[in-house]
This record gives sequence, structure tokens and C-alpha cells, in this order.
Amino acid sequence: MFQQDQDIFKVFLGAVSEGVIVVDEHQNIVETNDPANRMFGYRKGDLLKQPLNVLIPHNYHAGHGAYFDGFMKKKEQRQMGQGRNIFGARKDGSIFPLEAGLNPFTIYGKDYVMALVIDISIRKEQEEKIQELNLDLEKKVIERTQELDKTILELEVENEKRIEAEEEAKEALKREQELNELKTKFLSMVSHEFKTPLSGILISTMLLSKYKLAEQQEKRDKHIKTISDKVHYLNNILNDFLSVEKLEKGKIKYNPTTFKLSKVINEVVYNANMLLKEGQKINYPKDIDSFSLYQDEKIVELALSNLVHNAIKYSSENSYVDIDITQDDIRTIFRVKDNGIGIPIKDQKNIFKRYFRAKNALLSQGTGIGLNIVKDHLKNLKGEIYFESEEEKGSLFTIELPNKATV
Amino acid sequence: MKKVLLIEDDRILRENTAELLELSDYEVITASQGKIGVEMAKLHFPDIIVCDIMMPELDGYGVLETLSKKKAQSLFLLSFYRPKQNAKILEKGWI
Repeated sequence: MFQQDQDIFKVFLGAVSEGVIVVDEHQNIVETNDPANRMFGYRKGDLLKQPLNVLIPHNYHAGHGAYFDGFMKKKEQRQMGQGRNIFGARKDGSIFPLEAGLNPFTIYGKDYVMALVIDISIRKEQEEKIQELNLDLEKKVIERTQELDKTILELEVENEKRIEAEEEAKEALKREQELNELKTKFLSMVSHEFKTPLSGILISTMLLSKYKLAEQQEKRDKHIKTISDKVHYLNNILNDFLSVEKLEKGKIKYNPTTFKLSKVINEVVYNANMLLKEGQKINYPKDIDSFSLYQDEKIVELALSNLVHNAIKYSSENSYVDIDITQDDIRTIFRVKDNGIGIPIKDQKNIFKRYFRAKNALLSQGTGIGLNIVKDHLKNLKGEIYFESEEEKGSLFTIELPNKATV
Repeated sequence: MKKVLLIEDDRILRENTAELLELSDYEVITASQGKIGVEMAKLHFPDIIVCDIMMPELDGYGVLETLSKKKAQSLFLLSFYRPKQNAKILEKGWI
């Protein structure tokens, strides 16, 4: 072909570094240049008049035919590197990736396509390597990320544990501090509660030793009585402490018996009379001979004594303490009323708590145990205790108890 | 005879201490509360006041505070309980 311009044409073909393959409209090869021959592994001239299919891997033949026909109809240029991956077949049957730019042209009334072809196996290999490296990298990133996630998770768990431990430590510290505070208060309370009567006893013994004359028997008797009273008083405090322990462990055994209420009242009033301040008086019912109870007598006495002693302790000289008792078929109600310092509203909700002392009672003797014990006992005996109180006006404590104990 | 005012809320302790002081040849007057004690101090001009610290209503410090405003006598505070309280008393220069 191209007889006239063959020389020029040959120069062009030789100068082009890409492979050049020219095919006619029947896909027969009409011209190739050296780079194209080398690329596909043919000797110079071997490809002429061969169908283009020899350069195309078998599995692409069918597809390529249809594509070629479509391309010939449109006759548009197609630049290199556009479109899908295409492959070439070498003479020895090996397949390699290539890029082809297609340039249709017409000469002497015949249609041709000039294909510029580049072997891109090296590039592809590099691309693949890059892709592989990328994949590797991604994999590593994922791995590292997972490792990091795991570490973070571990750290979080660790952190949570630490926070928990810290909170536990704080809680323990708080408990310790509260306990310490309670201990300090308790010790100060105990030392006050014990030292005052002990000092009384001590001075009584000192005085006893001074009264040596026969006619001083009266004085000696008085101090012996003081000592005996104070020993009883101390014994009662100790009993209170011990019953706290017993109540807490549920170790108390109640011992119900049938007894006359008047007997208990007389006992309580008799003992309370010794504690009266100057001008204080206890009013108590004297017409209760018909009242009797089936209860633990000691507990009833303890509860009433507590209320009466409180009434005396927390009211001033020249005041009255009123005891009132009513009974119906089921219950007995005891009321103890005073006109003393009362309980501040703020402290009323805590008044039955162990060791609690109302603000206005802190400087008076007391352990803060009495009412706590009474309440616990009464609860065990299916009874109740409640009160009304106004600061600086006085208090009214009420105990309700079933006539027949069921314990 | 020196006159002692004894302010103490515990009856037995008050009576016993008074008795002991009387046997030691002091003239003793007693008060069962801080407030009463202050009144008695104003009335009887005791040479010495022996006063409990922990008392309801007006406590030992209150008594001292009230009395030191008026030209009072030598004053003793009785403190059985806490070393802290004693430190407080010494701090203020009281005996």
C-alpha cells in the first residue's frame, strides 16, 4: 500500500516509539512497525495480511469483533488508556496487558484503523505492586487500628476499675471518718456519762472517811446511799449499752408475765423521785389497780423509766411531769408529759436514732441510747412509741402496747 | 472564811463538793445552773467560783464570759472531760 509515499511512510513508522498496527475494514493487518513486531514477538513482515485476531487472546475474540464493527460505524478516535483493560497475545501464546489508541482513517476509498499500542505489563505490574502494597498497608492499618482499639478497650476497662477502686477507697475513707467521728463522740459521751457519777462516788468515799464520830452515822448513811445509787445508775447505763448489742443481734428473749400496772408505776415513780430537781413533782394516776398486763415487766418498766427520766432531765426546777395511763380491751396507752426544753423541729426526725442527742440537749448528761432501745423493744413487742414536742414548751411522749404479748 | 460559789448541774457532785469544801472551812454557796450561778455571783461576791463546763443552757464558758465583763473575782473552771477544753481555757489566759 501507499506505493507513492512509501519512503516517507516508512520513516514515520520507524520514528514512532509505540507499536503501530494498521488494519483494514476486515480486520486484516496491513502494516506494522518494528516496535509492534517486537511487542508481539513476530519477525518483520510476519504479521502482514494476518487477521488482527492473532494478536488478541482467544477469549476476547468474539467480544472484539462486535466492538470493531461498532467502532468502524462511528469512526471516532479513541485515545490511549481510555476504556477497559485490554490484552494482547504474543506469538508464543503469552498474554500481556496493553493500551491502544485507535485512529480510523480513509484512504483511496478504503477504511483503515491505525492502532498505536503500548505494552503496559511493567506499568501494570507496578500498579499491581502498588495496589498490593496499598492493600498490605490497609491491612496493617486495620490490624494496628484493631490493636489500638483493643488497647483502648483494655485501658477503658482498666480505667473503670481504677475509678471504681478510687470510689471504693473514698467510700471506705468516708465510712472510716464517720466511724471515727462516732467513736470520738461516743468516747467523749461515755467519759462524761461515767466520770460524773464516778466523781460523785469518789467524793462520797472521801467524805465517808472524814465522818468518824458515832453521831455522824446519818452523814455516813447518806453517802453510802449516794454511792449505791450511783452504782445502780452506772449499772443501768452499762445495761443500756449491752442491750444495744443484744437488740442488734436479735438475741433478746422476752419474758411475759401477768402483772399489775400500779406495781410498775410505783417502782418507776419511786426511782424517778430520787432524780427530781428542786420543786419538781411527778403526777401519776393512783386509780389503776384494775389495770394489768401480760407483758415483759422489765421492758415496760425500762420504757416508762426512760420517758420519765427524760422528762425530769429536760425540764427545769419547779416543774411538773405528768404520767397518764388508759387501757381498753386491747391496748394500754402511756403518756408522759413535761414542760421542758422540748425537741427542736430539725432534730425530731432523728430522736430515736442511736447516740443521737438533740442540739439543745448536748450539754445535758445522756448517751443517746435510751429512746433508741425503747423503740426497738417496743417494736419487738408489737407496741409503738411516738411524740409531740415544741422547743422550750415541752414534750409529750406516748407508748402504746398490746395488753397481751404475743412473743 | 473564804466564800466559794459552786456551779454544777449534777446534784450529787454539787452537794458532795460543797460538803467537802465546807469541811475544809470554806463558806459555800451553790447553783445548779450557769444562769443562777451568774445571779448568785452578782449577789454574794464570792472569792472563788468553781464552775462546771458542760451544763445545759449557760455553760461554763458562758458564765465566765458574762462574769468577766463585770469586775469578777478569781474564777476556776472545773473540767473533767477533754484536754481540748483545758487547752482552750489556758489559751484565753484563764485559770
